Amino acid sequence: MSVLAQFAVNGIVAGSVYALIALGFALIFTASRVFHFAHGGVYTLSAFAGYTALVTFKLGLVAGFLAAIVVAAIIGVLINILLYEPMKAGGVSPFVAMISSFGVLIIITHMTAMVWGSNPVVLSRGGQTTVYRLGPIYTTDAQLLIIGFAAALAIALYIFFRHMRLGIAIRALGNDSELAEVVGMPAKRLRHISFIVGSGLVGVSAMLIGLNVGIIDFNMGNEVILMATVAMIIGGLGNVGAAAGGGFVLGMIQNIAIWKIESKWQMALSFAILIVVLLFKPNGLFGEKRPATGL
Amino acid sequence: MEYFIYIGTLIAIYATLTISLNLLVGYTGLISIAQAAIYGVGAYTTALLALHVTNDLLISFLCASATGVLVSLIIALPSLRLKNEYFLIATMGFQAIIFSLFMNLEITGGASGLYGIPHPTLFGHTIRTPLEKFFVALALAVVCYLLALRITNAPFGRLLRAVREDQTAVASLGKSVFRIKFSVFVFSAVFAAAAGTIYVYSLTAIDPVAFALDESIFIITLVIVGGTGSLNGSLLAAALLILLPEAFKFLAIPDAIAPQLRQVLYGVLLVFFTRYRRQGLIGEYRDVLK
Repeated sequence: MSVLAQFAVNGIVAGSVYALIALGFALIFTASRVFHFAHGGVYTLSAFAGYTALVTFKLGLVAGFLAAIVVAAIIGVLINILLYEPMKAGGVSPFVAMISSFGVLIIITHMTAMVWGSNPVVLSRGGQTTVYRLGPIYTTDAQLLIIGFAAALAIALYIFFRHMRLGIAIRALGNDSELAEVVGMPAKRLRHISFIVGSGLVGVSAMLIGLNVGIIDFNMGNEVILMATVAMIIGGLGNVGAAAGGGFVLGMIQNIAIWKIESKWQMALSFAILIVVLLFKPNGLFGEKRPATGL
Repeated sequence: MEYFIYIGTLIAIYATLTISLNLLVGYTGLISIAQAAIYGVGAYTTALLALHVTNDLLISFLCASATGVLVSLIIALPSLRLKNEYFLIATMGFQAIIFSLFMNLEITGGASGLYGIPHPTLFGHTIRTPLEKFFVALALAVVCYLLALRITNAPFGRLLRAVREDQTAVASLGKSVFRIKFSVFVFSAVFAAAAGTIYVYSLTAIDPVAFALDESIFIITLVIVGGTGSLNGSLLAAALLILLPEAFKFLAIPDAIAPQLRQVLYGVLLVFFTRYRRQGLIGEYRDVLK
């Protein structure tokens, strides 16, 4: 029983990690309807930016996080300004932008490898990790930080999208951007804001996760963005809270499954769940009925 | 000299893969990123057959295509019910699942793959030299090209394009859109799997990384760069994109960053063509990627 409890705690940690990535990914999807796969590249690059500030130049933890956030936000909004917005203006569908996004992911990932090398590097803030013990269950301060931040962020974004003008405007934009512009919304600016915030969040996530794992490498974003996609779809598209919920569910399933299934099958299991959800519950577990997603 | 022959074989393999995927992407409007998985299924079938049963080339082609078709059925049946982004993501899911099988099953040799695969035989003659293997690869590419040409010019080809342009119209004429998509998916799988046979016999080994998601994205890149809906474009793109990074070898680019630079180049091409030239180098149908 205590083994299962430990798996559940690991599941909550993993779920929070997926939720963190899925939140920014879903925020961007909500505003632009683009599956922004390059988000995985932004995640990787921001971790290395944080690494450079924290480990290479020894500027401290705050500077590490700031570097990650600023780099992520700038790269994220640049991708929107230079690629997605012109495509949208040219009448190209978000689907083609999604294919383009794979190209951006490849470029960022391999440029990172060219600059920082293709071997993993140690990301550590120095000092000791505090381990907490609750009965038979173990957890660390970095893990608690991830869980807390994911929960706070999910709640904040939920309130933002439900009760604040800007959030409601961004949702409206995602549902029908032409209509949003007709009623006088600054559509372009709203999308830019979404890319800045969504990417900035992934910068924080990259540092939290990097510090928890202890090492970072140029490939770290690829698996994470695939899991964020799975999380967003099983949670429910076009709904940020649902994406976070999907992340939690995915993390829990993966870790409780370790009880019966070897961990090497986690990836396959996650995608099997994705395909089942796509076929039988296309609105996701927590999504509303929403034909606007095109399913 | 042997090096150039090997490059030639590689171009023939990618030409086959690109043409087979172009039938899906360019003619039918189905953007699948599971092509590398099907290619891998053909390769593993061939390798296991050669290691344990027979290395006869024709039997290898036959069995690889058969398993390729089987797997494509498993992918197509659920995925074809989805549209656009969701079709792509479902095929991506299958790509990830199949790649995970390659990497983790015992029979596929896990992450180290399979090696020591014998040379193939054809009518009792052992195909040993790289030049002979190049001609086998070339023959497959030519057969694939001619069949694709025949299909796309036949009435069935018009039907494919009609599905791409307006599914509802096709359905309203009493044609089964699902069956049309399904047939082209299976046809595409036959050649992708056969390309896997060539891969195995030209390397006499398997590295699972050759069938990862990146590879599927690379094949999509070839289709888009050449031009969706253009078979000649696919040939051109396969030749250009395989040859281009080889130029790095002559530009004295350090070995440590050459493979990274190659990927960056492919990424830049994918972004450039989806952004500025969606009809590709010599494609005529600008509307495929709309």
